[in-house]
Amino acid sequence: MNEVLAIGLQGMQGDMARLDQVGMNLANALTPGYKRGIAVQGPIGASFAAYLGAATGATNAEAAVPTLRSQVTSDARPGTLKLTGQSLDVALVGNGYFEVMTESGPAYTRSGSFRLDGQGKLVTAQGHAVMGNSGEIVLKTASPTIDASGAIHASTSPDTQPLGRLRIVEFEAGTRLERLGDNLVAGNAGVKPLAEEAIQVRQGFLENSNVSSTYEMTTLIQTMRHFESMQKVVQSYDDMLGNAIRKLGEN
Amino acid sequence: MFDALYIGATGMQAQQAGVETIANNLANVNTPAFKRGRVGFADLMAREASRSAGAADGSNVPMQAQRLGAGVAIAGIGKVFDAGELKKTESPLDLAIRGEGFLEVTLADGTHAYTRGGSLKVSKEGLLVTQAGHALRPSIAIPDNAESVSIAADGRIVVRVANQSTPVEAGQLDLLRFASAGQLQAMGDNLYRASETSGEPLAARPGEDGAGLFAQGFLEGSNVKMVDEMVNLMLAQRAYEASVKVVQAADEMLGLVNNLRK
Repeated sequence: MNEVLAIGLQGMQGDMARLDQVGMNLANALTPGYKRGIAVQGPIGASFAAYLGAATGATNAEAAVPTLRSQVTSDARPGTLKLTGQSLDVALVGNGYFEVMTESGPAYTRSGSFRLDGQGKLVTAQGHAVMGNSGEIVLKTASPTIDASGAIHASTSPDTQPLGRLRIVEFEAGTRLERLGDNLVAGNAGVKPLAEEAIQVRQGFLENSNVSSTYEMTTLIQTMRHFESMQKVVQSYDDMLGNAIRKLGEN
Repeated sequence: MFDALYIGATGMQAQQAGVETIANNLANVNTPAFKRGRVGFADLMAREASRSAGAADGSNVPMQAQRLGAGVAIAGIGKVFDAGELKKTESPLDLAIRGEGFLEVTLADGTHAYTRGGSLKVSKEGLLVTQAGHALRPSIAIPDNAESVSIAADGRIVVRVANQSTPVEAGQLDLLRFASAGQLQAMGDNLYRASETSGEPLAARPGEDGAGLFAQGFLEGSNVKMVDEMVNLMLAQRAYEASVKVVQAADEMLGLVNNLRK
């Protein structure tokens, strides 16, 4: 009897999750390398039917609990590049991630806003070491030259021995990415080095987030209105129930 | 109860910090030797405790870890030590550094700080001090009867004294460099303090190992670029506005929820 209320509830919870995601995207509109998250909710009917099926004795354990929490996927499309002119700002054109080392293992980022620490080690803004092909990268100068392949030279002359080479990787196909915060992601499967010809590093640039405020604002309006209509559904159903009880009680 | 409110709030806070930094940059657009500040943002995630406990190899990331995030954080506010334009002032005690490097000064409490130069003066005790009265280190004594002071590009200071035909050497200024100058802690008055992340000061001879040269009679302009700051100001303002809209929407939705039962 309460299916309508349950559906309304699920719809509203989905809208709240979507609003969270819109807020997250808009808050990170100026975060370098940020990838827009999209809250995806499975069709309510499907999960609900599965739930009902389970309730009537179906053995599918997976279907026993309808997924109330919506899934978040990332829009992996690259953002545009912004010129900053800083020698330790690097952006990736096309695919790939920089590898950094955190306390809980390697993580990956597209935000190339790096700096040096007190020992001259190349680190992210949070102090995580940026990994090169042969481990951490220690620089003597705060203004090195980084070429398109990610090789770091102490001076502008290209024939000098590189001080290191940025490790640029890609995830195996179908990897589910988990956001760790601090602009970092990790995957549930392995990574492999990006093919050399696909690496395109640009020094002095940062990648803008790929958030479109127009899209987010439209989604915001849509979400609000959907939420409102779900509220009306619940209210009308409540009215209906109330009426029914009253009318039936009169007889 | 409702994450969107808090997420919107983090967005507003972060952009506010952005606007404050930009305002400080713009206010100091004509301050000699001022270095512009720069804010970095990073996304903030509500992280499950299980992630930090295990999953070091990233292979067994638990499903619950896929959670909606919690907004944006300020990754760091640093200084950008791009060189400013050198402006000729002809004043013999105006000192700029052409290239990288810092001068060391002694503060009133005996600790040390670093500066990019500026207008110097001679103190009552006859020492060369900054405009705010902090003595240079190593201290340089200028005799009372000095007629002119000349500072060579390599930091050698020569004083011409009345009634003497040969100039007197008064001392040698050294330059200091940092592994990560951008992490120096700004103290105001164009002074910076070494921090854990900037590294210890390293002595460098002017003109060697990438260190700059002294330029007497010049002042370094600020490295603030008006156009960049204005564009960033607009961006920060609009991003702030967007977060306000999210907060409003979240509030409205909470209102609707409370009105479910009439």
